[in-house]
Amino acid sequence: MSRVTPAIQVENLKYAYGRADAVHDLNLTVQPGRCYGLFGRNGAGKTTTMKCLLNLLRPRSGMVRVFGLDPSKQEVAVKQRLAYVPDQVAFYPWMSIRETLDYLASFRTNWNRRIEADLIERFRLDPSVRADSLSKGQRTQLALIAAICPETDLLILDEPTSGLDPIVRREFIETVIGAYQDGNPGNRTILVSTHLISEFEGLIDEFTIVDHGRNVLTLDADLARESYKKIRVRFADTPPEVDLREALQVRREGRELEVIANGGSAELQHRLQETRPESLTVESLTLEEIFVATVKSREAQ
Amino acid sequence: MTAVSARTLKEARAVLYPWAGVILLCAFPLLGRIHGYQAVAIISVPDDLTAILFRLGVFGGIPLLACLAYGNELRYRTLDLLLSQPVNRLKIWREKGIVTVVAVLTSLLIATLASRSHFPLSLQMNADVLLFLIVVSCSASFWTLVGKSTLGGFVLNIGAMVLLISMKTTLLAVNSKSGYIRPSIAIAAMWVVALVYSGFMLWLGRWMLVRRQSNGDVMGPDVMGAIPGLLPVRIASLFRCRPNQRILNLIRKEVQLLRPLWLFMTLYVIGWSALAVSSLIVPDVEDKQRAIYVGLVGVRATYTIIALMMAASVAYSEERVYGVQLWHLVLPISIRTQWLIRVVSAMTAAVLCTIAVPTMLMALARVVLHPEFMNRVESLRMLDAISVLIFSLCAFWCATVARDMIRTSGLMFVAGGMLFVTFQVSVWLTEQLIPGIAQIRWLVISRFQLNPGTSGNPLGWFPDPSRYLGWLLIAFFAVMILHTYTLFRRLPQESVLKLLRPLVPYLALIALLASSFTVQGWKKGWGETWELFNDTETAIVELPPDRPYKVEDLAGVASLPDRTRQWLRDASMILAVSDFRPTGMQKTLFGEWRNEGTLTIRFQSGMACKATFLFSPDKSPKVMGSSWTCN
Repeated sequence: MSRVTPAIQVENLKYAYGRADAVHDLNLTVQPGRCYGLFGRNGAGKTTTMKCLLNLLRPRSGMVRVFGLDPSKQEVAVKQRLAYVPDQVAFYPWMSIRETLDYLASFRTNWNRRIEADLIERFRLDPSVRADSLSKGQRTQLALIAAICPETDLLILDEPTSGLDPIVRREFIETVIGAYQDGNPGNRTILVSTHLISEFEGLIDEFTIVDHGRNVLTLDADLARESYKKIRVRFADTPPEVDLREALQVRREGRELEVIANGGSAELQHRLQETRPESLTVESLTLEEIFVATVKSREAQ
Repeated sequence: MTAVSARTLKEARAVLYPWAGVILLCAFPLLGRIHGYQAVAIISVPDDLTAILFRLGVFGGIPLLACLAYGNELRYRTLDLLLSQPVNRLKIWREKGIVTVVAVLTSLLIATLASRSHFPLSLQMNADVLLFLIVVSCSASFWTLVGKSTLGGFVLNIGAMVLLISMKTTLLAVNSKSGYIRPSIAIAAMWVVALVYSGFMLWLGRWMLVRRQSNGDVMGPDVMGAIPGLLPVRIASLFRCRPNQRILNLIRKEVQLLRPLWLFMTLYVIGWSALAVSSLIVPDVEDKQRAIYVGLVGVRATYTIIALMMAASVAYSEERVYGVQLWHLVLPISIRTQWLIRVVSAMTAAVLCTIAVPTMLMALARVVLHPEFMNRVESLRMLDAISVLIFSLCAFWCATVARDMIRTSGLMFVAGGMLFVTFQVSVWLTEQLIPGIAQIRWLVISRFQLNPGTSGNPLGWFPDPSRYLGWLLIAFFAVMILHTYTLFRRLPQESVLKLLRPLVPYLALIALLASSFTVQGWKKGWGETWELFNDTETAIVELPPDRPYKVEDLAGVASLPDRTRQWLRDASMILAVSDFRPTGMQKTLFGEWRNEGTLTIRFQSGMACKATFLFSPDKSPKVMGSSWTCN
């Protein structure tokens, strides 16, 4: 049985800016065809990790592979298979949208003109407008078009939706990203770093939470939703003392008790039921809630 | 600390390093005088380097300083943040103005002191320079806000000045020929016009700041971006990127990035041509012709240096301002190709702007204008192609490290200074160390009773760099250009230490070369080890020959230094003496001395040394060195 080469493989990655550790022993494996989320607070090391994948930064130690290739040795081969949208998008000011896309297309072996025309129309961009007249959101739209049109095997998106208005943002996530992956199902991979986790909720297959450059949690999105539960309990009087050691987070507000648990929620639920509450509800956490709960519980420790 | 002083300090901090650099340039003639030009002589720079650096400081540095107050805000995109603070914009304008005035005036003061002692100019020329600086300083804020960058402001400001000076020179020349107005009145009128213009530009700058609107995220139209619009459609279309021409697209991009340089070159062509044409109108009076002659040469020298710096650094500077460097490195084209195109573009632009265009201009002027005058201008030594390439290469290296024209200029001088200091320190240190090395060697020989004659110069293996100087320089520049490849992919650095770090290998190389030169040139000291034999010979001739002696016996008749006692410890010595009768040439050489001593020393280690030497019967000092063999 042949093993599938991961789209991205990062092992024990370390990078430091001077003495400040940006990434510390980070491990990451992204299988082809997946949409992988990289979540973390500001300065957690997400952009640094992406820059190491793109050979913009040379890791201090550890291994980085993109489709089994070493970006520092087979740089062009790696870059031919990926497209990148940076967190701060910029273009040459003298070029029009048309010229910018032609310029970027000249470096690619494949450029889908149909998708380009479709996206220009969808984003309501005027191809004759110069880049220096574009707003931040429009520049991001242009960068997204430039990243989608080459139809590469890997799309690396660093805060791709910042600056986009909610309508374009939703359209981009639901339609454009969906269409990109559907273009070659099972083979097109996305690595996305974002703070707007809820917007990518439906797309993310797997995610890693990074904190202070360290890998805190890596989970399949569906498994995470199954495992992380929020139990809301309402009592007639002040909430009684209950053993909630397994809980990730406990919040008491008046007669209400909110418990977030990772696994073992059935046991907790059972214990809380025994206290005869007025009401008890259990619901799955969203990815954003899982992220917040994980980072906060880590900080509390 | 009050809010005002905090803000003023922040403004001062922003111009501190460039100001220090300009002060250094303006004070260069004074420094040279203090050291009697030794500093310049050692590194074999051209004789007129002092004058060029001084002019660069006055005509390049001071106008640049004046642009920095707003240029820095635009560069770091902090102007909108500053204007959003609850401070009256006029206050901000005043604070920036005060810092600029102080920076410009102190530089001017130093320049005046240097000029008085080294480049004494006529009152008229001094006044012209002063007027130039007043106008340039007053116009700087306006042009910087229009140009939206320090570089843009600088080029536009200098450009406007070149046009004004050309007009002024032509008008004064026409007047002096036709005699409409008395020259003194014409000059006074020109001063009034210039001062009114300065006041107007100052007010325009203030107005621009007060009325400035934030474009938010929109970058806004770039003044330089208007250039393609001015070109005929067919030419402009040549520079338009096409989907299937990736290498050509990269070249087109480089050409576009160099737009400030092209604009600067155009302004030079216009200004220089106007000056040259005015030489036709000016009456054939020696001092007036000389003024134009000095002007033509000065404009070209200043232009050459600035254009070279721009050719090397503008592309980096512009990419940094636009923020496009990062994603460009992610494009699927090798970094090597991108780097190669950048190097070739920079070098080609440097040669084109500083050699090809001025030469063509000169040739044209010689045909159109009077050839004799042009021959005089051309006879001045200008930078040749090799110098241009070397300077461009150094500037390109600095630009690759600094990614910004102002920083590049600063780094050029800092790096030059550090290399020079390293050279001097290395020479000094080596001179201090060599006797120490000789001393250590000598101690080892004494302690272990070794043969002092096994090697003469212990550092003799050091290659003589002067024999390979040409190759060394070629290798040095080859390493430098290859180094720019590794630096090319580096993201811009802000810290001064990180900017200087890439210089370390070059400092080490210079230190090695300097030490090597010094070692080769050092003749003194290696002979000292022969003193061991000399001491032994001098002592043993005092004792009766043909008897074995120990070191204690020798010490009894002569004062033996410690090193010789150490070397001879437990050794047995015997001296055999025979007559030596000099004849012919030998008589001339050795005179009346006729004793030949054969000294044999047997050491505990088993080594035996035999020496043959001549000495006089009265045991006075020998006339020749002895010959020694040890086994």
